[in-house]
Amino acid sequence: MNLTLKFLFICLFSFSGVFAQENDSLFKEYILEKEINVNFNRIDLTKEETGFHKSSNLSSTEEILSRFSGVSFIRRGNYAPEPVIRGLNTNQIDVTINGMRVMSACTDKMDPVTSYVETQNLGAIDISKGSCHSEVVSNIGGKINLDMLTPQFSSHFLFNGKVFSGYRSTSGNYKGGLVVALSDENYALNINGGYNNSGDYKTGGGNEIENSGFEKYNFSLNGAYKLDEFNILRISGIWDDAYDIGYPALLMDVGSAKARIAGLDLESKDLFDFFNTLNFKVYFNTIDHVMDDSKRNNGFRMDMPGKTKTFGSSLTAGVLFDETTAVTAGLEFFNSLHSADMTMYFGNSNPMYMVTWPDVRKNQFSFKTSLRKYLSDKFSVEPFAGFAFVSSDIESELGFNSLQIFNPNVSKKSSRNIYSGGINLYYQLFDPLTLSLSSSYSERFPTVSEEFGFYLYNRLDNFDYIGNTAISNEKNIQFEFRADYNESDIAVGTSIFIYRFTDYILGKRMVSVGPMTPGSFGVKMYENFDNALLAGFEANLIFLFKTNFVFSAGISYSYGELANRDPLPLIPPLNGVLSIRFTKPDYMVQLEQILAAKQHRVNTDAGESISAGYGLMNIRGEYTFNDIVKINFGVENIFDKEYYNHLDWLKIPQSGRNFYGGIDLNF
Amino acid sequence: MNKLTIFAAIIFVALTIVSCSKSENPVTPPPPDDNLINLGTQSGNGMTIVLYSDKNPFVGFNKLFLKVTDDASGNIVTNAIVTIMPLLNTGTTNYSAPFENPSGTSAADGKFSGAVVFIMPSSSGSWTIEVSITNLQNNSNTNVSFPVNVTEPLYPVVKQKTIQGTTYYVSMIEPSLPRVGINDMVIKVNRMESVTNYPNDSTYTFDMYPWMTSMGHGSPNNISPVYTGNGYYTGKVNFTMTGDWRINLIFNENATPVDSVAFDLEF
Repeated sequence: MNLTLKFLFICLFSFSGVFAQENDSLFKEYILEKEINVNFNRIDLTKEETGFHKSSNLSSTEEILSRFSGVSFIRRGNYAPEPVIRGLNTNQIDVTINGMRVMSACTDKMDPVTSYVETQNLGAIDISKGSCHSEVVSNIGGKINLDMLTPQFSSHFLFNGKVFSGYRSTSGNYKGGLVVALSDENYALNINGGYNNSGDYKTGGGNEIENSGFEKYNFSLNGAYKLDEFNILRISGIWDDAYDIGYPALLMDVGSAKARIAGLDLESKDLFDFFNTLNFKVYFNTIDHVMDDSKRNNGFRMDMPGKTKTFGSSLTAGVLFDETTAVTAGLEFFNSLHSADMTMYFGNSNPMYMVTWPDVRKNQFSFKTSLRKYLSDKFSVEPFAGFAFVSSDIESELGFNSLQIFNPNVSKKSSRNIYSGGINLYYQLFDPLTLSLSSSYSERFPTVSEEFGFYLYNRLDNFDYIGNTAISNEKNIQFEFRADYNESDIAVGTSIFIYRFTDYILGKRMVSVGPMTPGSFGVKMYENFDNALLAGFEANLIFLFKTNFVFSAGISYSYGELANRDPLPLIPPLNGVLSIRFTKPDYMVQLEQILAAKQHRVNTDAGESISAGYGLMNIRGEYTFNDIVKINFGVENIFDKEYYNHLDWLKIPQSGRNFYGGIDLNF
Repeated sequence: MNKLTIFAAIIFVALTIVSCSKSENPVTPPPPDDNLINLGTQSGNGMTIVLYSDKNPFVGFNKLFLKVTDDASGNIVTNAIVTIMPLLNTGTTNYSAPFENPSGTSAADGKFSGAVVFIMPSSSGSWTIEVSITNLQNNSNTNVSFPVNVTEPLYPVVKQKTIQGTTYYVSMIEPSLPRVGINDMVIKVNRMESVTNYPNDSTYTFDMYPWMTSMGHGSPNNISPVYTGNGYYTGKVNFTMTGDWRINLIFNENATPVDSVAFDLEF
């Protein structure tokens, strides 16, 4: 690619992705880390060739994500695990859907935003690790954006779709649904619906894990209308209802979790002959999450509903000034309301009522801009800077009064600022090898729980947590070095990173305060810890050989440490995935090995203990009969190993040997 | 087409402005509750006296109010010496109870205010409030007696405790309307010298421990009540949630616990 072309590609790709020319070779689709943007991974799941990520139609969004190196999950059950990038959890990373902010409604993190997107409406996944690579101000640890299916226009009217259905043996998991697509020259519409039902799963060795099933309905709609050659209007919506979700690692389950998500996007290019790309977005969503313990025998009954409502808007634009200079800018505003409370029923006593999130209304505004400049054919720089402001209002009088018990100086209105900035340097050493160096400063706002939470129980360390309204923003300085080698039959990507935190936010025991939750050890309040260190690496290799074989390997490692040399809690152990895939036009076979090392660096204060390593073997296959019928099948955990990952709460083992099969009928 | 983009940009700006200029909701305090309960009217020596309380009389600390009117002029008397004395006749014994006379000789808002700690309900005998008034404008005086009906609340707010041969009455005055959060804690301690004499007492210091009995947990950051004079001890009690709470009070003598009382409440 000559410089101009390459540069155009970079801009188009990183500004919106929508107008990006999909002129990559099929093989390129395998490549996880695109050379154009350090750590910025975009995987288009609609491509057949991304089968490595979307291993079967039964995969959940989280299962797909877990195949990105550096991404792990904290599991509290067999549903809605919490995504973690390089050991940083959803306090430190942003998860968005189509760029829309959606706020989890569960005080116990039982509903990460990833749980509201089903794979049949997932079009692409963007992962940016660290704070360097987002259009809008992002969190310290990076961002996961789940892009819904982008409906494609067609030169003449088209109507097609598919019915899919599949079954997994260990949990009696049935998943099925319908996808319908309509398109014409000026409009495109994609409607899909799915049903997903799972019973309690069995671990390796055949033990059944009680309270681990769920039931889920998901509908989504994506539409696009071409206003003219340069402007496209898009609408998207998700209606997601899940019921009776079990969380074996917690004291409570979820009666229902409901999400209603809607957004409108306008994508323009060449507006006023100035903005090469411009994307304007408005959106609204509500999450209604009902946690209860009606299926447990805790000796009392407890309801802990949580709700969030968010509306927001963003405007991102990119301008290509000349063939070597481009500027992007992103403005974002959103308003979110976070409410949660707890009612306990015990014998004939009056119900006990507590406000756990005191109706916190946040208004957040942010601005970020970056410049990319090619100084020579081989060398480019990308400085960036951002600012965000948030105001928080406590709207619940009762909640405010409760918070005063621990935070005597709490006020109903408060505000915070964050600043971020940094630079990316890219250098092409020789043709297939690109080196890049990133350095940035970033901050994050405390979460609603960290700032305003009230007696939120953590089963892992068995403490109740109290928010600290005087807590400072967590701050971070990052350095990352990356090398990417891309050739037609081999791609290697490695990165080494080091993050240094100040005012790291973690719970600290309040020795004078007795326990509240029956059986708990006491109460912790969120505090700033002097500093903390996170360092590690990721490496990926994809190797194409003998035309039909693809070998892929990924490995990632994070090392975390507090100022007092204690390890950071919940850091994934060294882990990796190896797979080899054999592809013919009508069938495919893939063998996978999933490996995790022992994690001996544990934080006992946070309730952790040493975890054993494990290795798993999976085999997957696909067979295409004709244009209509396609089947997929496989065995996960072939040797029925009883295992758990270090990030699995309470070390509850994951699924044992799982036979699965599914069928797609295309029309 | 560009119009649409501009329109969208306007919406974005409007959204930003609307959300930033969100109207303030000033929290107006509720009007003071002066709906006092009329406990009866008595007349004597050219004066009409009305007795009020803020709640129906109950076993515990009751605030009382007296309005005195000069019959001749029809004016409210605001400058007078007013004393009160509760009396309980059980048929065999005449008891009194801890009480507070109106302080000073002028009536705030036209009423003289005092207080009585009823230590038994009317089912134990008949309560009267004996009132003596000297109008300082004309030096006329009168004594009147108001019968009152005293009921027992669901959760007792006065506790009797005998320590080393002496009987004490501990009245919990606040929290009278407990709520989640930080509550004022006010108690009053009286010693029984005789069945008719209950002076204020400051012999003991107190440690306080609120406890949620059904759940088996307490609450943090409480301030144990400390002596502030006239038999009063004040502190802060914290309730982390609604429900049934028990406030444990430990009597300390020279920092050594000697006994305890507990008040139950539910909200």
